[in-house]
This record gives sequence, structure tokens and C-alpha cells, in this order.
Amino acid sequence: MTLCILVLLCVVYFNINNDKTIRIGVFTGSPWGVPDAYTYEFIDDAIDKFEKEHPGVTVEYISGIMKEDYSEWLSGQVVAGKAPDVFMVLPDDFSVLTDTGAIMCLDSIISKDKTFDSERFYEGSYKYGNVNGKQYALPLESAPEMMFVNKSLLAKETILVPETDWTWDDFYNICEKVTKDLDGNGVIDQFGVYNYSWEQAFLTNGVHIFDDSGKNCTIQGENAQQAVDFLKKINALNKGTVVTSSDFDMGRVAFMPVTLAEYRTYKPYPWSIKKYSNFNWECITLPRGPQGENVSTMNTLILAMNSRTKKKEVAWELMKTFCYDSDIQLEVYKYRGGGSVLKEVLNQNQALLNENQALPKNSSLNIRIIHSIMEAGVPAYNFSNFDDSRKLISNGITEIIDNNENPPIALKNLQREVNQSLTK
Amino acid sequence: MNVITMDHNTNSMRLVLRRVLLLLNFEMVVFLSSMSAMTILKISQSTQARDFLGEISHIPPVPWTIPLYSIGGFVLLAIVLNIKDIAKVPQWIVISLQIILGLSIIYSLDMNYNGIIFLVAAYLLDYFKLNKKKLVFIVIVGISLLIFDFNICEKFMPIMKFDTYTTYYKDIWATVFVAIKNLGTTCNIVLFIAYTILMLGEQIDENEKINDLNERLNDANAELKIANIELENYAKESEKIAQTRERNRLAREIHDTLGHTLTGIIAGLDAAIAILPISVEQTNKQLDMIRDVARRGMTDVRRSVNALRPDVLEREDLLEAINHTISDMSAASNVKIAFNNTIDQLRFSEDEEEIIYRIIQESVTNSIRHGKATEITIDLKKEYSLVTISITDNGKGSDNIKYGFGLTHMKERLDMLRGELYVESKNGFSVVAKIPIRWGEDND
Repeated sequence: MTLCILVLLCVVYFNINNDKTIRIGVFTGSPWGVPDAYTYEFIDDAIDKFEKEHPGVTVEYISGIMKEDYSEWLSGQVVAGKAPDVFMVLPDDFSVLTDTGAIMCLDSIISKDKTFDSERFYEGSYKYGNVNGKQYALPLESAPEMMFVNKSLLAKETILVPETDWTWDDFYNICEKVTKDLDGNGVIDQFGVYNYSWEQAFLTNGVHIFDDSGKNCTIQGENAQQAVDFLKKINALNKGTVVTSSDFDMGRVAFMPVTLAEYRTYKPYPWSIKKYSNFNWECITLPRGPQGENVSTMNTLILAMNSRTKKKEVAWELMKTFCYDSDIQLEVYKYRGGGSVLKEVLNQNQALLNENQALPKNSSLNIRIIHSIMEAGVPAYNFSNFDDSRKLISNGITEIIDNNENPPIALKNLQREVNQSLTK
Repeated sequence: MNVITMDHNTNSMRLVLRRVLLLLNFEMVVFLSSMSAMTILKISQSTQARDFLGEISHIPPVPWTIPLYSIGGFVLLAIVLNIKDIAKVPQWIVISLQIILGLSIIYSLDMNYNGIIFLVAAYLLDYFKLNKKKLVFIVIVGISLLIFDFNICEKFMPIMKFDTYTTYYKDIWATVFVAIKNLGTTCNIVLFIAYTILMLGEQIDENEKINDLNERLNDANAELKIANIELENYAKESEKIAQTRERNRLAREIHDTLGHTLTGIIAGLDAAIAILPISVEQTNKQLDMIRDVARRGMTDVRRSVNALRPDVLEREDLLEAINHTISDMSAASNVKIAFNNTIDQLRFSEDEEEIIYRIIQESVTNSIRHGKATEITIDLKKEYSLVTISITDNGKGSDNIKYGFGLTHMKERLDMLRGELYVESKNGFSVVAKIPIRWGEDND
């Protein structure tokens, strides 16, 4: 009798351990809000490659989950204890999933894996997966912010497209030149910039708004004051007229910050017909302030491991195939809007990339510039109260600009308010 | 008698209460675990999963594991709690198993229900009979109740508050679930208190019983003293009886030895007188024999005297003595005496040997003296657990058997050994004596 039970247990144990199916959670559509026709191309290729390299292991995923539904679907799976072994994580969910322990910390796995070198990733991409000094995810795809330039408008105004190391002064001068009332009705109808936010101004003037833990906010000081003053100046050009997206679409705005994904999607055919088709345009770096660099925030789609997975080793190998394999990362670059997270893909394969029409043909932006933008990319903040704090600061800075408050005092008060909300 | 019945009632009532406590806790474990699991499943299938994740500090347990671990753990606990009656397992193993299982169940329910502590305590109280230990134990229970509380453990463990599940239900069910949980918790405490009171009552009864027993012991002591005095009196009396018995014995000895020898001498002299005219030679022979009988008698007298002095007892082998007597008697009286012994080993004690020898001696004397027998057969045999001695002669017998001094003494002696005497006069005279074998079974 006892022997029978033992044998049965052995069989069950053997079966469980022999179950070589690994599940991955993915969504369809672009994480950057651009049209995406090739979601499953690189996923299927990555799975094929992984299954070839790991005979006997089968990778499964559920197709057809839209990006909009993915957060709810993944949450449901996590709550029910049925989450896939490896899954994509949307920026909004990352802090919740790490805080609740749904995601496994990768530090011990990484320290054991001698072949793994995090230096191969762009720092901005890799660091996005880091929470409080612990690595919770690997980057899959990154999209840095860039500055969209309406070349037709600049040409009309006989202005040259700025160089990649342009400054706020260059930026302001161009904006000042193009801000006009074209039809003479007393209302300004041609603008310098649309959607330029305090975050871009702060970042390009060397302000680190939050520390790594997300517990401290620093927005007072000279750099921040300069940024606020600059925003005030730029804002004052419009003399109270509000710029809308339709102004931009109609080609009446010179600049707008966009992501690499938007650039790569709308620049080539067929999407080039749908949007921004009535003018010639290009992308360049964000302008730098007197204390900063031409850097930009890097938005990153990450891949994380289920904290309850029974197949840690296999799951890690699968994550590496998706994120750490240069062939697959090249496909990520080819099929998807964002950029590869591996430096070598953009840095060393330039000829290959050009051949593969990785960049639009009529582009003046070359792969080297994208690589340098990504290399200088700063990871987006990923702590749990980030959204609330950002809203708080946004409102505060809008108030400072609109009410023409004294920046040093107003920023100090705002900083105190934000820090209070962070410690709650 | 009344006290004992009442006591039994409280005891059985306490056990019933304990059973109810067990059932209530089982119900609570089933309710809490299945409710948690159901809610987690419902949330995961609803559109509130993302909001739910945002509100909690840890991901909830995998739904099906909650009932599996908690109910499974409870079944094991129920078995271990009753193991005391089932198997002989060392007490400390049972106690630690009970505590470990209890805590595991509490943990598997995310510390939301610590009533299991009361259940385990109710069973464990039985193990600690001493008041001091009991007090320490109750203090430990109190401390563990404080420690294994959700609000404290929340800080150190990834656990989920029961309210998190109930708030999912926006309607009346939220209230119903909270009410069921609170009712169960309260009932559990009330039951435990009732159980403790009954147990204390039992202990008070027990103390009373001990006092009662003490009183009874004192009474018994007094009775024992009286009995002692009576015993002393009895000892004195039995001393007197012993004296009387000793006198009787002396009388018997005199009759047996001197009477028998004198009978032999008289019978021999009668024969000598009869044959003197016929043959002087024969008469001389006869006289020699009579002298031998007289000598034998002398020896017997000495023997008797020795027998009365147990410290210098000299004994002859029983068979030797019987054979000797038979050949003496047969020679002195011209009577044919046959002795058949079928017992291999004679292992009689001194008094038995004495009695057997005397019965044979007396019977043979009687046959010669009163029965005028010419042939006498003596059989000594063992039948089952009895030794049978039968002496049969071909003499004239007696129409009505008179219990003279000899037969009466034979009977008296046999009575001492719980033996029996049968006398029959039919074609001669036969005496049968049966003595129960006394020699030890281990020697047999």
C-alpha cells in the first residue's frame, strides 16, 4: 500500500517536472500607441529560435489580447495564480506587480548566469527594469523621445534644420521667428512648439526630479528655475493662444516632441499618407538647456518573470532569447516601432540595417544618431506613486506659469507638497 | 455514588463541548477558505482584477491551495488531537504536532482566524494537570493569540486581510460574510470559556473526592486497629487449641506405638503358648520374633518421642518403614501381608508420611487383632491428584463398624490433610484412605 502511494507520488512528481511547456504573456498592438501590423512576427521567430535551442520545450502564448485589455487580463491571471511564466509588463502595471510580489527579482539569477552581461543593453533601457536597486525585468523594446521638426515650415521661413547638439536658445530663436499671425486677424496662427512639457525642459537642463527610490523629489534649485523660466518664455510667445493638435497636423507648428516609434511609423509608407502628409518633416534630438545635455526619456517595454514560476531556469532562457539575443532584437527593430534595447544592434549593424530599410529612405536622421540618443536615454520613472506625483507637479508648474508666480518660492512650496504626498 | 454520577455528567458534557468546538472550527475553516478562494476566482474573472491588485500589498494565494492546505491541515489536526486514544506516541511529539498543525492552519488562512488556538488549547489543557503548568500554558496561549493576529503579522508576512475579500461584494453579502465570521469567532470564544469552566469544576470535584478518600482512609485505619486487637485475642485462643491438639497427638502416639507392639507381643505369645507342646525349637523361634517385635516397639516409642521433638527429628524412609513393619507383623503373627506400591517417587512431607505409615500400621493391627485375618493386601497408588491407600483383609470383618479410638484417630489425622477415609466390611474388611497430593506441580 505504502509502496503504491510512493510510486504514484514519484510518477506525479516526474510528470510535473517533465512538463516542459512554458507560457509567455504578450499583447497585440504597439505599446507606443502607433499602428502595428507585425506584433507576432518577432514573437513567433523568437519562440522558434528558443524551441530549437531548447529541444523538448514548448512555448505557449495566448494571441489576440489587445494592449487595452492586457493589463486587466494579466491582473486576472496574477490574482487567480495562473499568470504565465514570463510576461510583458506595461509601464502602468510595473510598480503594482513588483510591489505585490507578482514579479520575481532577477538579481540572484543574473549573478549566477556568468554569460550574462547587462552592459550590452542601453543603460536607459536596462535600468527601467530596476526598482530600488533590484532588477525585476529585462527590456524588450525602447522608444526614446525626439523632437519632430516641420521641415516645410522651416524652409518657408528660411530656417535651417537645427544640428543634433542644438540648445534652448536655438530652439527659442526659431520659435520666436515662426510665431506669427499669418492671416492678420489678430490671432496667432503659426506656432513654435506643441506639447513641449516641463519634463522635457527639466530633463534637458539636468534636473533629476526623483531619486531612485521614488521617495524624494527635488525641483527647487537653479536648474529647475531656469527650466521654468524657459517654459514661461516659450509659452509667452503665443500670447495666450492655445496650440491644438489640429494646428500641428495642418503643418502650422514647427516642433513637437514625439517618440522614436511615432517617427518610424509615420515616416514611411503607408502611414506617411495618413498623417503629416501635407508637409515635409524630420526628427532630431531634444534641445539642451544651459546646464544639461541633449537627452531624452526612454520609454521601455519590459519582460518580467512570474514570481511563482516553477521553471525559473527555462523562463530566464526564454527572457534572454527575447531581450538578449541580437538576432531577435534586430527583428524587434525591424518589425516594431521602438528601438532595440541592445547597443550592438544599432551600433554595429548599420549596413545591415540600411539594407533592411530600417530607416525611412528620405530620412536625414541616421542610425548613428538614434544610437546616440538611446545611449544617452534616461529611463522613465517606474515607482508606484509616479503618476500622482507627475500630475501634482504638472498642475503646480502650470499654475506658476499661468499666474506668473515667483519660481524659487513657488518651486520650493511645490517640492514640499510633492514630498508630503510621496511619504504618505 | 451520587457524587460519581454527577462527576461523570460534567465530564461527558465537557467532551461534548470539545466536540462542538472541533466542529465549529472545522466549519469556520471551510467557510473562510472556500470564501477566500471563491472571491479570488471571482475577482480574477471580473474586470476588477487590476484595481484589486492596486489595492493590496501582496498577491493573494493561489485560490485552490487555500482550502487544500487549511482543510487538509484541519483533518490532520483532528486526527492528531485524538491520537492520545489511538496510539502510544510520545506525548511531546503529539503536543508539538498539534501546535505546529494549528499554526499552519492559521497561516494558511492568512492569520484571519486564530480561533484554532482555542481548539488546540482545549485539547492541550488535558495534558497539564498541575495548576502551575496550567497557568504557564494559559499565559502562552494568551501570548500566541496576541502574536498570531492579522494586524501584527501583516507587517512581516505576505498575508491578505479577510475584509479585502468581503469589500469585493458591494451588496448585502459583504455584511453576511463579516457577520458569519464574527459569529463564529465569538461562539468559539464562548465555547472555550464554557469548556474551561467545566474543566475547573471537574478539578474542584476531584479535590473534594481526594478529601473524601482521606476521610475514608482514616476510618479504615481505626477499623484496622480494632481488628488487630481481635487478632491478638484470636492468637491467644488458638494457642490453647494447639495445646489441646498436642495432647490428643500424645494420646494417639501412645496408642499407635505401645498398643500395636503390645498386640504383636500378645499375638506372638499366644502362638508360642500354642506351639510350645509341639516344638520347643519352633517356640524359641517364635520367642525370638516376639523379642524383635518388642524391640521394634521400643524403637517406635523412641521414634514417637523424637517426633515430639521436631528439632532432632530422625526419620526413616517411608517405604523402608512400611516394609519393616509388614515383615515384623507377618513374622510375628503368621499372616500373609502383600504390599503393592505403584508410585515411583514418594515425595510426601513429614506429616503425610507419618499419617500414611500410621494408617497402614493401624489397619494391619486391626485386621490381625479384630478380624483374625490370614491374608492382608496393602495397595499404595496414585489416582489423578489423589494418593490412595487401601488395606484389605480376608478376616471376619464386622457387621456394624464401630469407630473406636484407632479409626477415629485415622479419620482425624486424614482431616488434617483434607483427606477422606472409607471403611467397608464385605468379605473381609477394607480401609481406603484418599489424600490429595500436595507436592508441588513443578516437581511433577
